[in-house]
Amino acid sequence: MHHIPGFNLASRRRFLEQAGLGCGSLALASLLHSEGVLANDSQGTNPLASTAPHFPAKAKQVIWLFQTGSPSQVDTFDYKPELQKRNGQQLAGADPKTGFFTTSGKCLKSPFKFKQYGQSGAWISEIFPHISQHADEIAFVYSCFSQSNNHTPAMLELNSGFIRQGFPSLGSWLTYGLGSENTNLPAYVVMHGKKPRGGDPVWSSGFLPSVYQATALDPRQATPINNLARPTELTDRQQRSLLDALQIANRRHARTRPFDRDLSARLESFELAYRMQVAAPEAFDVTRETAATQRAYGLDRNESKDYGRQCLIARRLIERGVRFVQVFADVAKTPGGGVNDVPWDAHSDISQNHGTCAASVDQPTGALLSDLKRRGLLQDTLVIYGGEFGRTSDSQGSKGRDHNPNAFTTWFAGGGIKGGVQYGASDEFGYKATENRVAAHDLHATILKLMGFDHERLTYRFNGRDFRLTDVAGEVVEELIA
Amino acid sequence: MKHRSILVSQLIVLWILFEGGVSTAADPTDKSGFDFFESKIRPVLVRHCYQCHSAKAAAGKMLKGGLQVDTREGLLRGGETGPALIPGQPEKSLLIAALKHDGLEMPPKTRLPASIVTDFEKWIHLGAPDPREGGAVVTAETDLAAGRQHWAFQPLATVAPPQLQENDWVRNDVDRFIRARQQTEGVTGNPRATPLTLLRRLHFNVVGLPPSPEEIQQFTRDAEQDFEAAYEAAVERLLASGHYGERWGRHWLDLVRFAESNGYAFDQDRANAFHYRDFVIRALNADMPYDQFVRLQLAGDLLADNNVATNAQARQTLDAVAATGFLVAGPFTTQQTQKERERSRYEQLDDIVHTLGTSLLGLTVGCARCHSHKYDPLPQNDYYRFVSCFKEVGFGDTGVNLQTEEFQAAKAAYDVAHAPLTAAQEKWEQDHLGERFAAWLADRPEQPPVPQLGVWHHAGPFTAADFNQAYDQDWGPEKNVDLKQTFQDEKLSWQPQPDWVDAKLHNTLQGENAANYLFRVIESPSPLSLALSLGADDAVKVWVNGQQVLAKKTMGAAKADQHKLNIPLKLGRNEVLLKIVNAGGGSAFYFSLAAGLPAKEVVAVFKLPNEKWTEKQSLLVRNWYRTTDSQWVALNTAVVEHQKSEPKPNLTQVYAARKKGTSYQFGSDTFKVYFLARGNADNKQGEAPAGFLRVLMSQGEDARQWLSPTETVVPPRVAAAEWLTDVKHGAGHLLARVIVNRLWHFHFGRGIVSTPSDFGTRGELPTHPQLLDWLARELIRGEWKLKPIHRLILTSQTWMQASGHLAESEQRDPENRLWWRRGARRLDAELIRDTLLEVSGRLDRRMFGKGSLDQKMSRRSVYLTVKRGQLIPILQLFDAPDAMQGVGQRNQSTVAPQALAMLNSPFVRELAGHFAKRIRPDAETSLEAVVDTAYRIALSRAPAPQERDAMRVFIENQITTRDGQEEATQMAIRDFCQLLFCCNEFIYVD
Repeated sequence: MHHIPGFNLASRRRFLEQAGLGCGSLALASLLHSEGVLANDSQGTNPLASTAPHFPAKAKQVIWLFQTGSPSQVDTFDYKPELQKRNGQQLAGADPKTGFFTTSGKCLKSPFKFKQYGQSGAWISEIFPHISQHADEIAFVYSCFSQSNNHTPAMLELNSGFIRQGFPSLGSWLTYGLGSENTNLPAYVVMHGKKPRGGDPVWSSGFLPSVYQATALDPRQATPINNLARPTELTDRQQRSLLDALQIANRRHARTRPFDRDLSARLESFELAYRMQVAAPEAFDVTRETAATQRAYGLDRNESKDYGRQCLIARRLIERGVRFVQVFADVAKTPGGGVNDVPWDAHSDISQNHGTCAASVDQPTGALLSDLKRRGLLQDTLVIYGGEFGRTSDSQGSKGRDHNPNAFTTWFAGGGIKGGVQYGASDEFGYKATENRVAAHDLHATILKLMGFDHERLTYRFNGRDFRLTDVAGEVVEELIA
Repeated sequence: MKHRSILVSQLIVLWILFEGGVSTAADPTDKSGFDFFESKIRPVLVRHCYQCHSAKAAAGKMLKGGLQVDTREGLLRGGETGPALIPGQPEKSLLIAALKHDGLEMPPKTRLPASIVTDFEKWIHLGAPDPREGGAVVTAETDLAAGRQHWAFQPLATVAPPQLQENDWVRNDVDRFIRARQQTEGVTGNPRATPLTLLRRLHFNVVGLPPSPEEIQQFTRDAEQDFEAAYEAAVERLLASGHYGERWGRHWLDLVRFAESNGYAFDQDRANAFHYRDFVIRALNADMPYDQFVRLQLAGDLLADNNVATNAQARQTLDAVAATGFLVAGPFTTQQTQKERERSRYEQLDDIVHTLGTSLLGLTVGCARCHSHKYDPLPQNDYYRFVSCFKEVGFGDTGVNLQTEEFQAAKAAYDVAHAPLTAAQEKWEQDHLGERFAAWLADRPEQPPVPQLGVWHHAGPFTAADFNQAYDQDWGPEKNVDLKQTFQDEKLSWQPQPDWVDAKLHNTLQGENAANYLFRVIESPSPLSLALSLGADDAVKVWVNGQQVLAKKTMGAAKADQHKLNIPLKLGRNEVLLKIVNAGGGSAFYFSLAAGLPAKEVVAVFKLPNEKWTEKQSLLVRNWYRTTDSQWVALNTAVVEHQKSEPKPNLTQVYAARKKGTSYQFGSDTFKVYFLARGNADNKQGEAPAGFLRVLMSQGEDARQWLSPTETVVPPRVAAAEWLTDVKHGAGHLLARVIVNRLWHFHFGRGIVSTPSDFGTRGELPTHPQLLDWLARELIRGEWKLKPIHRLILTSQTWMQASGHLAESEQRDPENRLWWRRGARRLDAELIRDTLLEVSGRLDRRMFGKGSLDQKMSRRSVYLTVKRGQLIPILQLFDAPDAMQGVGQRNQSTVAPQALAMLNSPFVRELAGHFAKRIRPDAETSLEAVVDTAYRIALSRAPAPQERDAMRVFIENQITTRDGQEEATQMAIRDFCQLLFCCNEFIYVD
């Protein structure tokens, strides 16, 4: 029937199709192979084994810094002198029902000053003194748009390509396509403060096997991963001897069932769990970093410490081989319309809201880029920064901006990205993306390309249909790729 | 730069408009026109459009939108959205709109430069000269006749089980089909598994719980005497168990994306959605015929009998209504902007037919939403017609009275008691009203007398220690009001409040945790029932003439109509006392007459002389008059008072489908379905009439066979249910194939068709097509009852065989497609949790009713609430679905977080503690006995001697590590219990 010639996803999928037969949990078989436990087992049967993509990848890992609530393009990276000039005047072609509420139809100029940075001369708002230092490493896409003017569906679209719940997120697709580089840590980690609007479905593995689901956690918690801590009444030695006895019992059971390979896979999953108890807390422990590093990420400042911790952990996870790290910006205070689960949602006061949010995210974001670069990680790590839609160029109330799905800016840096690129454009007021419009499907197609995939060939059969992250659309924005 | 190019294009358009006016004589075959085409138009079409809009694209099944631009005819004919161009009229040509990304966007990603758009405008204006020849490929109408040739759409074959030369391996007819193929392929099946293996397998498969030590003992004893009888008895016992419905109902709930909340950001609960789960369990346990099971889920609300006499019938009605939870189990988002609603409504309808298609028919109907199905013979029109059957479906709670017998008895008793009261009133009206009205009329006042409301007097605030004290305590006036009285050492007294007008909210009261009294006199011209509307912040009591008539607490701000009551007034002076009690914040009250005053019509009639009154006016006044007649008022009060005791039905609310119930509302089109070009709600192409999938109607059949000319006689949803279950002419044959395959799938871990939710051309072919059709026919022959099919499977050698590896069979059929062995199968998430509870002696076997979100609750997992935004962690870990889309085949993963949960979760640790207590009830029990009991309970077998020794040593070691600790032995045994929980044998069943 349908198969993908020359691509090992086919065998992976074939094996997943047989999941009902009980082979599905060969999950760890080749993990064991890589550790010499099952030396003769065949490759390509472990859904989490690290696998090669369709063609050589430009990036191997991803950090997505998601700015939930939607930053305004015209107050951050998409400078519009015309809007500044026409403050208070009627915005031609304004649709007051563009957003969630009703807007005035009158131009609202940005309260922030813009300057050009770097060789590339990108215009960047004064609220980003740190990010702007990286202007020449960044590729800006000024012409993003999304389908919905409502947070939850837009969050779903940006993350899974569909405005409905139930579809796998980019992180799950990549984990499905590439597997994991670290057997002691999850392949796909999501960090949030308060869960962003849309909640768990935003990083769902949808119909993909749950092996590809995100491990979502709040890094402010003492034990961010469920069940990671050994019960207090059990010593390490007691647990170790429990596991030793378990291995004996399981091996005895498996001896008479040599062909039920998932039995041995499960046997090893307990050993992995045992190791994770040590490895995961270590990865999340930012106190192992030098004081200087912690300061660089803004951990010493109240406004940036939460997001700074997220960024610093992201780097630690990338260092340890985690495939996909997604950060939903945890912002200390959200005045001007934002609330905890949509911090950038500046309905009532752009200046106050964006000023405060930027004070949280700017320094850690800049520090992350510098740190990744210094450690040689940036060349293989794709960094993505953006929200789920943009904001209106006309005002909501006197000082706020409503949702605007018709234009927003997303930027990329790191693995495979051509620095200094300024792609696409919105109109002279930043109200609608006009040139080289880029939909979520196009962003996804581009990210997949960077990671080595042809987005049309990364498919999964569910309920009789071969699903793609990009549905039936998606075009790669080649101009971003180095 | 950008601004200038826009300006230039505008100029060119202007130029075309003006210049064009004089050159309309353009000849489309003019040579210069062709030159223009060749230099400016063709290269663009080739470069940007042919990939999706050409004969080549059509040949490669890549043609988009049915539009072909590689011939002149193709452009003129156009695609799904109409002709691409109208020669001479660029402003009316879709092609131009598309190039401008105005409505349509072509090419989809990049907007071509304005100069190219201008070229196209000019070219169309010239009459679109185009030398290219050739017809447009007609996008093939889905060929239904050819489509019906696909095996799954064919009628059920009449097949007899194969006759075999040697029948050693064969236990029943199922095995004949299996064995025949095995023989042909030179494969040998396994012998029957051991009795204890079978008992454990049987228990988990049928009821999802392990056999108890007593059941094991009984079965072992019986099997030694007569295995066949013992086995059959066990099969019957388990199929008759209520736990069967819980186990198999969970499979069904997977298929229909069952959940008890809306999903999305606010994830509102559907508190009464659990009735659907109970319906499924009940129906399966009662072995409801599957066709009926399906009919109810599609249209139970319309098919249910609403005039029920008995409680049993009421239960049936409730189940029928609850069954439609199938239609409305999908996600729903409450936060919607106006722009999203219509699109969301089509999403909602798609969710319904998509779920219906995959779960019942194994067809991806939803794929025909934007275009005719790529692989299966499902034209797009069929999709919208089928969707139209569900166009009026919304959701909501429906009330059903399950105590209908009690209610009817109480109602009958009430009616008996009530009749004399109304009779007395009627009799009085017949005997006396006319005469008394005439007497009154003879000397009637000029104006209808109205009650006179006196000025409010206020006393307060009376501050208390807390709210309840303020509310409960009589601060002086409650027995008797004396306006001269003072309170609280003369600090408080009655104050007249002439400004406190009625029908207005007064925010003037003071005090927290305080009471305020309000008093007024009402002079009534007659006995009267006066209707009041009151509001109070936060509580109110009312006395009329010293009688308390109301006492209510309402937290929250005061407003009109918070309390409505009728107060009885006597002729003359009446005293009304209000007590307003405030907890915190501001305190307010509201007082207004709602009724009791003569209607303005009555007042108007009063102004006319009696003799000018029409009969109707006279009647109007008479009806008003009687409310002032003390005799009538007394009789009427008796009726009204008694009415208060009228029994009310005790309605059980059920979340279900409701005609025009809750949905995404966007005006008059809300409950209509249109054909949508490319699935886009902005591109409607006429309203879609109800209809079904034509590939599942026998040749020559018409949907009208099931539908009635008017929807009121047979609602389309009912017709759809009939079509679905119609074996002869409708979809019944496929319905039967899909369900027997699902039973097989759940019994064996793989279906005869290994893609149980895809029987389309992209699904796998059946490994044993004849067996599948034979089983489907058996199902229909047995009146669609499922238990006989279970019985056939459970008593087959195919199912009962062992898991041994036979070298030759392995070599010839490594994938076991011929069913020559049985493999170990992991328990589903719910069963792992249930078994942990059962083994620990904690399982609470109560069935039905509201569920719980607490994963530690002790009932079976099927009673855990499925809240989309708060899935149960331990179930999620072991691959329970997320309830967003139907799932026919769960994924199965083995990941470290599962092991972490088994090792470290407080829930598992706690259960291990309970298990430890169960197997070592007292300190006298030897460790060997502890190990033996534990194995029997947890693994349904005795430990081998080496195992017993190893485990005893383990326990002893664990005791040593806790040297000197109290309870060291118990803790060590608990470690051992947890070890058993972690064993593969615990969750893999042979």
